[in-house]
Amino acid sequence: MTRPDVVLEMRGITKRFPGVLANDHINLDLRKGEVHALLGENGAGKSTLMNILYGLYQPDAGEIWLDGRRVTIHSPRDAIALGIGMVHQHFMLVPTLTVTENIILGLETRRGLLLDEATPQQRIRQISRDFGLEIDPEAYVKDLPVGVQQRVEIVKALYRNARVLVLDEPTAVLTPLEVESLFSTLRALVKRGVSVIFISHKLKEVKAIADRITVLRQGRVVGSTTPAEAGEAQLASMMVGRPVILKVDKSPAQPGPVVLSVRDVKAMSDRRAMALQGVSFDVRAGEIVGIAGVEGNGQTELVEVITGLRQPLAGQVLLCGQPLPAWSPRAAIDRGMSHIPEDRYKYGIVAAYSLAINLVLSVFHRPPFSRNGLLQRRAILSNAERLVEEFDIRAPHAEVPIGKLSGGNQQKAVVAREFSRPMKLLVAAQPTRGVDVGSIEFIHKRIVQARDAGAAVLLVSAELDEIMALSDRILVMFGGRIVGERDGRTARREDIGLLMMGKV
Amino acid sequence: MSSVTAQGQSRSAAPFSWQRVWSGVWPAVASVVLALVIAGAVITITGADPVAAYRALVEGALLREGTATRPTAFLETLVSATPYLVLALGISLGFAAGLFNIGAEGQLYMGALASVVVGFALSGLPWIVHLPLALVAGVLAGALWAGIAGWLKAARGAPEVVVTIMLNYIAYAVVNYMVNGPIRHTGTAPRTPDIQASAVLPTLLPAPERIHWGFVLAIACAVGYYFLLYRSALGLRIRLVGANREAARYAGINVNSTYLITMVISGGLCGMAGAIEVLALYRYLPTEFTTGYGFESIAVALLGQGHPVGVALAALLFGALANGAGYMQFSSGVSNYIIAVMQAFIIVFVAAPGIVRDLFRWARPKRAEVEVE
Amino acid sequence: MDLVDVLLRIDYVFLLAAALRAATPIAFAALGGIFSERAGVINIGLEGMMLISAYVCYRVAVLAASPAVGLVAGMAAAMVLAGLHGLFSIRYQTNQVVSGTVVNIFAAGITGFLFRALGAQESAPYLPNISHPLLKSIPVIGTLLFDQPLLMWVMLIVVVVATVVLFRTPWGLRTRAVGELPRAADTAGIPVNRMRYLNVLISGALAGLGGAFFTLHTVSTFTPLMTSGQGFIGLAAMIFGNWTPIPAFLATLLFTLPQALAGQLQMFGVPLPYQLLSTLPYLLTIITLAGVVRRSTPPAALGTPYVK
Ligand SMILES: Nc1ncnc2c1ncn2[C@@H]1O[C@H](COP(=O)(O)OP(=O)(O)O)[C@@H](O)[C@H]1O
Ligand SMILES: [Mg+2]
Repeated sequence: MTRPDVVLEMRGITKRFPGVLANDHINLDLRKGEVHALLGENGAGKSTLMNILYGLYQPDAGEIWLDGRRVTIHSPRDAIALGIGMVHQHFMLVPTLTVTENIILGLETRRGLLLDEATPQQRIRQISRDFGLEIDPEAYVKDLPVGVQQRVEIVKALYRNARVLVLDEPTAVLTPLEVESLFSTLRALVKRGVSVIFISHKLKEVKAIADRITVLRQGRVVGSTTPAEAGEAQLASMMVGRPVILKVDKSPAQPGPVVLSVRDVKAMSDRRAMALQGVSFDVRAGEIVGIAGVEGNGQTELVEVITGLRQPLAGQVLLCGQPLPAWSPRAAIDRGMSHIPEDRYKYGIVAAYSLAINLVLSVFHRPPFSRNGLLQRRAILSNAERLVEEFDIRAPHAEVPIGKLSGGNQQKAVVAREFSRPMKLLVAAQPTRGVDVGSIEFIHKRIVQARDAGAAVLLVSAELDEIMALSDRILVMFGGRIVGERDGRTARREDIGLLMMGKV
Repeated sequence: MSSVTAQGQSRSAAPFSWQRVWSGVWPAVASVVLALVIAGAVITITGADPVAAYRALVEGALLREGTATRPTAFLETLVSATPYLVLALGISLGFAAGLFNIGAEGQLYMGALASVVVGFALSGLPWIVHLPLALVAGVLAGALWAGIAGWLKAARGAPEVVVTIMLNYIAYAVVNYMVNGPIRHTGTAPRTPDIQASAVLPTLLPAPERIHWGFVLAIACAVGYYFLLYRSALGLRIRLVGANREAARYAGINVNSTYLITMVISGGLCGMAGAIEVLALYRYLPTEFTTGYGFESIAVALLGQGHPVGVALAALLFGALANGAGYMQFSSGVSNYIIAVMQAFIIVFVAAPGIVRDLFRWARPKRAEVEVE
Repeated sequence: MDLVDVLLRIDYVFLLAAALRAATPIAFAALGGIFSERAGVINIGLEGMMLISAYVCYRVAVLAASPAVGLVAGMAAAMVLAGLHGLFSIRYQTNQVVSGTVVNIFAAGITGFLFRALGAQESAPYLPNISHPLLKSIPVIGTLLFDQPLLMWVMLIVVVVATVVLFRTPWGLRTRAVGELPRAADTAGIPVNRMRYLNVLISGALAGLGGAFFTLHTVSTFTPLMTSGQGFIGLAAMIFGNWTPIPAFLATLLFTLPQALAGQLQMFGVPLPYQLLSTLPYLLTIITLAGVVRRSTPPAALGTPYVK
C-alpha cells in the first residue's frame, strides 16, 4: 500500500501534553534520498513529532511504517536499530567526554572487559573523510565550537548506520557559511541514499535545501508543497495562519548621551575558559545596539557581567558615567537597568510562584508592595492587573503559577516586569526565543518604543534577522572579542556572516 | 490585605479551593495511617494485640486523667510536643530557603548549654532579667552554631548538610567535655549544677502538672513563623531563594546573605528548643539529655509540609506518640520503641507521596492507568 | 617528657597503619558515593546504609555463628535501603537530600528499635585479619599491609577496581554519561534510570562493606548510632577527591591521620582532653569542605531526576 520509494511513513500521529495537543493526526511520508523539510513556527509540534519517531515519546495514537512494515518504537534503542538517526535541537553530547566516547556511547566495543577505542576511531575517521565532516576523535566535546559539535552529532548518527536522518533546527547555531557547508554535507548524504528530515522555521533555508516541504501549525499539517510551487510569502502565511509583516517599523535613531559604557571587560565562563578577552563599547540613549554572533562567543558572559550576575576578572561597566559595582544585580536594578534574560527558566521566572509575584520579583521589598517589612497583597495584585492589561498577558487570574502559562505569555510577563521600572538601559538577551510570532511582533514593538522613549538598548540575539531588523548599530562578537561594527541601516547579511566567523 | 473568600471578589486573586488544601494534606494523613498499620503488623508478629496496644497508646497520650502525683496525659503530650514544634519550625524555615539544617540536634545542645551556664552562673538577678537572659543565651548559641554552617555555605559554598552533621558531633563533644570538666557540679553523676530559681521557666499549672510557659513560647514561634514566612518581605525573599536561586539572584536578592540569615534564624529556634528543655524541665544539664529530638524533628518538619499549622499538628502527633508509649508498654507489654518504627515509616511515606498513591492504587484497582515513565 | 621527644619516639609506620584501618569505612562510603553520584544520584543516605549493615552483620553473624554470612546479610540490608533510596529518587523524584535523610532516620529508628528489643549481649565472630608470618616482617610494608583487617584489603582492591570500572569500561562510560547529561545517554539508547538504580545499589553494597567493618572488625557488638558520621565524612572525602576513587581514598587519610597521631600522643602521656580530640575528624571535614568545594566539579546532572 505504500509507494515503493517511500522509506518512512507516519500516519495519524497524535500526542497530547497537559494542556496542549502537540500533534494532531499528523501524516508525513519520506521518500528515499530526499530532503523533506518540516516547517513551522515555535511550538508547532515539529520536535514532538520527531521525538516520537525517535522513541523518546510514545504517541497517543497513530502508526509508523518503515519500508512498508509497521513498526513500534519504544525507545531510542529501537529507533537506532531501525536505522533512524537524529540530531537534536539541543545537542546530545556529553561535554566531559571525548568525541569518540560520545559517538560510541551505547554501542561500545570491548577488548576483554575493557573499552576499545582504537577500532571505532578508525571507522569515525573513515566516515568523517567520506562525508567531509572534519572532526578530531580525541578532542573533548567541551572544547569544541558548536559548529563542530554538530558535525560530531551527524557522524554519531552515521556511525549507527542511520538511513533516515532527522535534523532538528540544525541551522540555528550556525553562521551563514557554516549553513552552506551543512547543506553540501546533506547533499552528499542524500546522494548515497540517506533520507533526510530537515526541521526549520526559516523560509530561505527550507527553500534552498528541501525537495519537499510539509508545513505544521498548532500541531496540524496545514499543507505540503515543493520549493518550486510556493513562494516565501505563501509559506509564511501557511506557517502563521495569517499574513506576516516581516519588517519592524522604526524611525531613524536619535542617539543622546552615553548611557552604558563597557571598558575592557575580561571574564571566565562557567567552564573556566576565557570567555571575554577585553570587550569595550558604548551604548547611547535612544539607540539600539545589536550584538550579533554565533552563540558561545562570549555574549552570555558579557550580558551577565553587565547585569551584575557574573564577576569580571578585569574591566569596568559604567552606567551614566558611574562605575557599577561588580557582581551586584541589585545595584544594576536600582540604577535603572532592565534585563530580559536569555534563559527564561533559569533567571527570568520562578515557575512555581504566581504571575503576580513574578511581576514584582525585583521590587517586592519596597513600597507600595511592602510596608514595614510586610507584603501588601492588594498592591501586588493591582500591579499585576495593570500589567496583564497593558502587556496583553493571557492568564486565568494573577495568582496562577507562571509556569503554567505558555512560553509567549511568560516572556511577555518578563518584559512587563522589566518595563515597569524606570528604565535607563535595557539589556535584552534573546528576547524572543521560544516565543510565537504574535508575541515576537509585540516584543519587538515594545523594544523600539523603549528606544524612542529615550532608553539605551543593548540587544543580544543569535537570530541574525532579529539583529538586522532592530539594530541601529551592530557589533559582532567572535571568540570573546568585538570583531567589527556596522551601521544598522547599511549592514549586509553576508558581511556580518563573515565577521561572525572571525573573518575580518 | 484583600480578603480571600470562597467567592473571591478580586478578579486577579486565585479562587480559594478546598480541593487544593486537601490535596496538600491527604498524603500526610495517609502516611500516618499506613505507618500505624505497619506498626500494628509488627506488634501482631511479636504476639501482642495491636488493638489493645493502640487503645493504651491513645489512653496514655490523651485520655488518662491526672492524679495527685501524675500529670494529666493530654497536658503531658503538649509538654512532649513543645521541643518538636520549635525544632521543626526551625528546620522548616531552612527547607523554605532550600537549606537542609540537619544540625538541629547540635544547635539544641549548644542552646541548652548556654542557657544552663547563664542559668547557674549569674546569681542575684530578678527573674524578669535572669530568665530572658538565659533564654536569649540559648537562642544566640543555637543561632551562632547554625550560623557557622550558614556562613560557610554563603562564603565558601560548603554543603550545609555535611557541615551541620559534623557540627552535631562537635556539639556533643563540647557538651560532654564541659559537663565532665569545667562546669561539672560536685555530685557523683556528671552534670552541671542546678540553675538559679530566677532562671526557671515556670509551669502554667500547679504540680504535678508540668505544662510550662515554653509551650506558650512554642505556639508564639509558630505564629511568628507564619508571619515571617508568608506575610513579610524577608519571608518571600527566603522562599524565592528556595524556589529558584538563580532567578532570585537575577532579581537582585542577595542569595548568600539570605542563606546566612535563614540559618541563623533556624538555629536560633533550635537553640530556643534546647533552652526551653533545660530551663523548664531539667533545670540542669546532664551529659546526654535528649533522645534524638533533633532528628525526629526532621520527620516532624517533613510531615508538616512546611506550613506552621501542619508542623504544629505533626508535633502534636509525635508528642502524643512519645508520651503515650510508656503507658502502652506498661499496660499492653508492647515495647515503647515501636514508636521508632512508626516514625520511620511515617517519613518514608511522607517523603514519597507517590508511594502512598501507588499503594492505594494497588489496593483499589479501578481502571487501568497509563504508566507515565 | 617534652613534645619533641614524644614526636621523635612515635612509630610513624604504625601510625599510618592505624590511619589506614580507620580509613576503611570512610573510604567505602566515599566509593559508594562516587558510584551513586557519578550516575547522578546524591547519596546522603550512606550513613544509614552503613548503620543498618553494621547491625545486620552483627545480628546475623551471631545467629549463623559465621562472620561471612553476617557480611553478606549486612550488605544485602544496606542494598535494600539503597533500593529504597533509588525508588524515592528515581521513580518518585523525591528531593534526593530528603530521601537520603529519610534513609538515615529510618536506619537509626529500626536499628535502635531492634537493639532495644533484642539486646546485643553476645559478641559476634570476627572477620579474619590478612596476616602472613613472613610478609609481616618486611619492614614498613609488613606493618602497613600484612597484619590488617580483611575489609581493609577489600577496600584497597575496590579503590583500584572502581577506578578501572569508571574510566576504562563501557559500564563506567555509561555511568558517567548518565550522571552528566542523561538525555544524551537516553538518545544513545542507554536506559538511564536502570543505570541509576544499579549504581545506587552498588553504592549500597559498598556502604554495606563499610558498615561490616564496625561490627565484624572494630568491636564485636553493636551500639546504636555507632557509625558516628563516618558516612558523611566519606562524602567529604568524595568531594575532596573530585568524585574519583584514588584521590578520594587518599583524602580519607587526611581525616584519619591526625586522629591516629593524637592517639599516639595520648599514649605517651601528652595530656589532651579526649572528648575534644574526638572532634578532630569532624573539624577537619568542615575545614576541607570549606576550602575545596568551590574548586570541585560535581557531575552536571547530580540531584536532577530524569524525566523524558
Ligand atoms: N515534554 C513536554 N511537556 C509538555 N508540553 C510540551 C512538551 N514538549 C513540548 N510541549 C509543548 O508541545 C508544543 C509543541 O512543542 P514542540 O514540538 O517543541 O514545537 P516545535 O519543535 O515545533 O517548536 C508546545 O506547545 C510545547 O510547549
Ligand atoms: Mg523544536
